[in-house]
Amino acid sequence: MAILAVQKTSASPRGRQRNISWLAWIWVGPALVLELVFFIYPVLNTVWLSFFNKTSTMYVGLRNYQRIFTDPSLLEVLRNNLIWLVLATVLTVGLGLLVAVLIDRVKIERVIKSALFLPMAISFVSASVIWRFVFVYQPANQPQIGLLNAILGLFGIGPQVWLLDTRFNTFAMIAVYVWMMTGFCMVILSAALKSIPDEILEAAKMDGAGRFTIFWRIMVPMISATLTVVTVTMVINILKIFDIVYVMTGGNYHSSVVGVEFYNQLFVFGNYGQAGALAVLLMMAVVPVMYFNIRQIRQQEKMR
Amino acid sequence: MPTFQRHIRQELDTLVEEYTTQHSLSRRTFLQRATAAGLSISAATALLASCGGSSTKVTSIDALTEWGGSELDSFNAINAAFTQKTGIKVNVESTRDLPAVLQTRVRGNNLPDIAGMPNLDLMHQLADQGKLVPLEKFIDMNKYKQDYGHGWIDLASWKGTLYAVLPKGNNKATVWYNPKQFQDAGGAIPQTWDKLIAVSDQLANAGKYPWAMGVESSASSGWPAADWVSEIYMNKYGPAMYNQWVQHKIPWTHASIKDAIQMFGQIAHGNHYINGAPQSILATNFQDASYQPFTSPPKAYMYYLGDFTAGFITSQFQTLKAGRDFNFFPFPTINAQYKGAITGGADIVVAMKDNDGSRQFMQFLATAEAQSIWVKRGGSTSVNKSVNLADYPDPVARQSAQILTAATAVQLSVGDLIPASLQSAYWKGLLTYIADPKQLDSVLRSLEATAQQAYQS
Repeated sequence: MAILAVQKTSASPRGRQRNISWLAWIWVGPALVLELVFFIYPVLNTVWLSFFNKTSTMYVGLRNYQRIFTDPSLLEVLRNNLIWLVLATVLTVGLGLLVAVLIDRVKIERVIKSALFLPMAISFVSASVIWRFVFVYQPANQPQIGLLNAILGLFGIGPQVWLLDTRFNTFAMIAVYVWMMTGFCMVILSAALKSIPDEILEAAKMDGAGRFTIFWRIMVPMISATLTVVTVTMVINILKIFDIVYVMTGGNYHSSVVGVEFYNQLFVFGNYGQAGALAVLLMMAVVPVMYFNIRQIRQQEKMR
Repeated sequence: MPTFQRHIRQELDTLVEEYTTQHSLSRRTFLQRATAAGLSISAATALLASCGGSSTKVTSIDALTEWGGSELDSFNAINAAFTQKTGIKVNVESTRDLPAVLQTRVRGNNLPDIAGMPNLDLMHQLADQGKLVPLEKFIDMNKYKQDYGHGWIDLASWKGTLYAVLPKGNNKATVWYNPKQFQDAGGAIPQTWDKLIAVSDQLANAGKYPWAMGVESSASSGWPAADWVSEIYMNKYGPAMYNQWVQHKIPWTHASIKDAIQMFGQIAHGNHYINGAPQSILATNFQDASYQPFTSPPKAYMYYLGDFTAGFITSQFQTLKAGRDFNFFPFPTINAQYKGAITGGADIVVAMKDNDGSRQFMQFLATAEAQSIWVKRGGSTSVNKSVNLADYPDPVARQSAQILTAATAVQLSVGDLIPASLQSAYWKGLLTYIADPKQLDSVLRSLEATAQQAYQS
């Protein structure tokens, strides 16, 4: 709105220009105030706090940041976040794209879409609780009440402690995220696929392009803008991941992520400095992605 | 109020002294004497306010607590009695995420009148920040000292000032078992640690699982193991050493700490002691584990956890009768010198706003009259000595209360006495130890490093 108003002023006679730009400020005003109070101020305050000690009474310089990169348990948190970032993004977007292509123009497309999209309707917390039941472990000589271990039992494989075993737990939780978010990626990518003009696809077929060529040379480039937006959304979501880990393992067994650690530092340990530093780190990781996302959207707007 | 005449100042000093330490002095007499000493009415009122005399009248107070379910019902029963007595309504806000809610409200300067404390560390922090109301100026300290043992008063105080009332406590020197099944299996109640190991071995050799154990508790997993270790340490090394540990006067790598954890390991890693150990210990919720000795046929024979376990058992198996179908034996003696030294717990309630309502509420909550309401409803062991033992609903609860009030020394579990960041690291460390006992030394070394950071602040 603001941009529109300013653009109009440049076209109008000089006398009215000042008047209207003043008006523009009134339009922008409320948004600016809200932005200042609820975004800019908290951000600056968080950055400020991150240079202080636990109770924000003593300046400690970069000590809180130094701890993040030297403390073994915090390093582990960073490593876990990285695993999440790479694996969960690749899986949600990759599987979403794969399913979208495979079910495109298939008869039961709608049924599959709805089924895959359904998990989106539940909250992360409920999904985590449900999946905890799937991962339940009982000693080998007891009846297995967890779905996954019961299935393993059918094949004569002993029960695994999915959420405790450091080899599996992060991956088990990523599986929950993938289960929830693949549908979302799939629906958006599928819509983008449908916007590819039929003529292009037909022309390609006439020229003798195989399925893979069509996929890689035509579909992917043509939906690349949507693909980026979906990927970026996933990246931002995953960087902030909290609920699944908090509910499923509580960050124990070497499975903590930055979001959970931040919560612990702030609310459990009352360490405002360390929590601030983690929040700033998270923000710095998200900002470039956001910037990229916004630029992408702008370019898309221009193309239209 | 500049008062330069020495005798007037002296007079005022004694007046203030008298007012803050005794309770016989009413506000009116205070004002009369202050004006008689030469102060103007407004100066006298200001003086009265500054020594906590101005208790604003209120018609209702806000209480923030962690209690839910039957605990909340019992708390509300106390509140109802309070309202009937004083006409002041108590609005209870209950949250399971007390630390987060409380921290937010403190930062936002939106304090409740009364609040539960999730841990002592937070209480100490808030007391240091001046957010808590010292109770000494309106609670009858003589009566308080009669009602509460020395250890409990220490617990409710910080730096020599009383801040908290303990509406209910629990005894953590209790090993739960099923009397009939235990006898059928040939078990005898062990009085000492060696006998405890002997009876465990005897059951294990007969192909049974002597112990149930579960330490899963979502974000606070590991605390039941910490309770185990605390109780062992208290019994073996006594309260003096225990306090040194808690205050970090001995390092976490100290031989006694390692020893206590390894004695806990004797149970956790005992041969054929626990079904599916060690993974099942980590994967089983502490509450679910408490059911194992009471199923039929029993999946285990003994379970260690505080006396609140009775609540889990009775709500899961409603037909079981206390004393006949489930009971506890006192934690066995390890070092005879420290017999009667136990660990326990207490729920902490503090006042955060100083007004007439919060004052009367804290006074009331500390009395045996208020606490016996909860005791009669079950699920609470009062640490107030004036609560009548006959008020306990069953013999099991009564015995537990008896042990608690007669204890020679009581201390909270170590986890609850150390800074929160260290507490969390300690719980995680015990989980690591349960999963892999070989890592004990490295766990203790990293705990010592965390401790140095935590105590340095």
